[in-house]
Amino acid sequence: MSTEDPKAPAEAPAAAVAAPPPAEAPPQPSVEAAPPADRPAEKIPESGSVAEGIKMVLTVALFTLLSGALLGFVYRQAKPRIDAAKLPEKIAALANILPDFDNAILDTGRCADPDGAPLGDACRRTMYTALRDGRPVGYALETYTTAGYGPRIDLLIGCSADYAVTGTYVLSQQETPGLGAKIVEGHRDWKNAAAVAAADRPFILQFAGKRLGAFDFRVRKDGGQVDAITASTISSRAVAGAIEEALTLLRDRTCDGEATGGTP
Amino acid sequence: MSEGSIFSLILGAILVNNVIFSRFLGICPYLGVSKRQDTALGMGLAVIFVMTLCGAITWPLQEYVLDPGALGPGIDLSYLRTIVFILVIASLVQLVEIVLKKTAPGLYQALGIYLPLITTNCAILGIAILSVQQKLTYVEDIVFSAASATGFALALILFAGVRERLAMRNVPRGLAGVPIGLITAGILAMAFMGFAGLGT
Amino acid sequence: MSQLQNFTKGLWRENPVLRILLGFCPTLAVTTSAIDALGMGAATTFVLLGSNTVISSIRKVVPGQMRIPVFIVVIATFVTVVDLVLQGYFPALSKSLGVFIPLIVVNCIILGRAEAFASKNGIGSSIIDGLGMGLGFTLALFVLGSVREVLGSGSIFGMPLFAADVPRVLIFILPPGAFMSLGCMLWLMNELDLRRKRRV
Repeated sequence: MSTEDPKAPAEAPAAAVAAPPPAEAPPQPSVEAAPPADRPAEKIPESGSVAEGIKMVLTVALFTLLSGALLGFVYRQAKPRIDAAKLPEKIAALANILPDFDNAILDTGRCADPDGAPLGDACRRTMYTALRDGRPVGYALETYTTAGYGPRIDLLIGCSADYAVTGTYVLSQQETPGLGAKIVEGHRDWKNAAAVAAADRPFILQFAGKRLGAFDFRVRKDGGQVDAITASTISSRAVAGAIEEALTLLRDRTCDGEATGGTP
Repeated sequence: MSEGSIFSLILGAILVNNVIFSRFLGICPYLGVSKRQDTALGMGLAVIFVMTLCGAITWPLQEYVLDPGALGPGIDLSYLRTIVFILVIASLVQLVEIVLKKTAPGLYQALGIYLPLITTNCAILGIAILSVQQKLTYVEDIVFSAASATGFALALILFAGVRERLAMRNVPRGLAGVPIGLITAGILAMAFMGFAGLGT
Repeated sequence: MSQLQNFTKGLWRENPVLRILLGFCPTLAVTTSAIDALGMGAATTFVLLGSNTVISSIRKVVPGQMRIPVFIVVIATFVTVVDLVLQGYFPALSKSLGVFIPLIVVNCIILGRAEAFASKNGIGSSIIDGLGMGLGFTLALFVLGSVREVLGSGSIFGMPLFAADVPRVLIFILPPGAFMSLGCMLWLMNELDLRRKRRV
């Protein structure tokens, strides 16, 4: 990152780490001017002497330390807000996609990963149990799929105690706007899903009440029963697959007597 | 992870979610180093090399240092990710340059001039962050980084081929250079949208 | 150069996106809607202001060879602050800008201003320069974001402009539309420039 070459132009060290934009140069910048990357540094900076190197590392370390301390402070201030910003959405979503429950549902969270990881940031799938009067009335799984068009879709999937879909909520997605992003349409409307006419029913609501075995969770194109969003088979397939996987996981996790009741 | 899903991870990163055409990462070098096919190839190879290496280094850093609780209960350094990753990338590029120069002068001749430009290639940092966000396993992370970089190289070389021909055509003055380049990239992006659905 | 000129140069004559052609990655990626474009512009302006201020005030303390890594640390610090604040106070915006928030750190505009201006000028001028450049960046993003949202989603700031049965030109909010709209915008800028030169 240092340059020993005295003849190296002032911008050489800059180019070493980050090719600087030509901003300092042209008073008459023309659009034909190539972006910075177009001008490879003509001189490759020589590596510095050991003393230089140590001095440099120390300077950078000092600044990093300062910055780390500042950020630690900001983070401590912002952390409660960050956590709080994520919470209400989740609670509201859970209330929406599950049968009515009366317990503090977030406290029932446990990791549902097949490898049995403990709850925490390493956990990829969290399951929640909805109780009413102490009896389980439904289960929800916070999960994700990478099978969509975007990198990742995060979902909350809820089912009743006998494993019929009661709702799904898209926590985050980066599907194509106007196409695959339609997977979010209607995901807050589960409580009155029945009132929506079949003709203009959003994609996601078609899963209401569907069960493993009784419903083929593949899109019609693949021989299943899921009506895909027009021109967005990938996103549709990803969500349908995630729901099927979630139902299987929730059933396997609750059937073996781990949780109370809930045998279908 | 099964072979099938590794394969779809690779296809997805190269074609479906191409770094340039779908994620918009690394546009500066994409427009800057695409005037000739040989330089495009050199830049592409340099990016594959560095991005793969970078994926291999940032994953353990995230997993064993930055993740909440990784250094011990109650220690949460996740907020330092941006700063740590960018410093790691900057130093890595320097290190690669020095090592290549000493040990592989031939390779250094070929890739050397592109290395300094790579630190500001936002594709490197972008892919590093995206892959730790996806919580991939170590092997998946390396595969994902290498495949994403391959997607970048592919986009760059294709684009250079088009631009070499474009350079010999009459283009209205106001449209010449970057504007026509962007419109060409738009057409290529449209072609890449046709890959949607592959591998899933 | 007067302070007024110092401020306005970033808006038009040296607009970082439209004239200097920097920062294309966020310009293409987060302009699917006017609101995202404004959010990104504001975040970048904040970082630019902060980094210009700090770098200008430490310019005499930090020796030449070490300045780039130090600049990167300073910039990354401000970026992380923005990232944390957005996550805590504007979760929806933070979600839709996604990885492009941490990627502000590799936005060439910021390091470019640090290197070309703040490291050579006083605090006052640097603040004005940062503000002008930041607003210029915001302006470019906002125009592009509005055009794409109106044509692609038929709305502005999320409010629908046309009846539901009026077809939308979906391509404008898809990746190809991003490249093409920016290409056309730069073309327009060039034509305006050529016309002005002809008149002179």
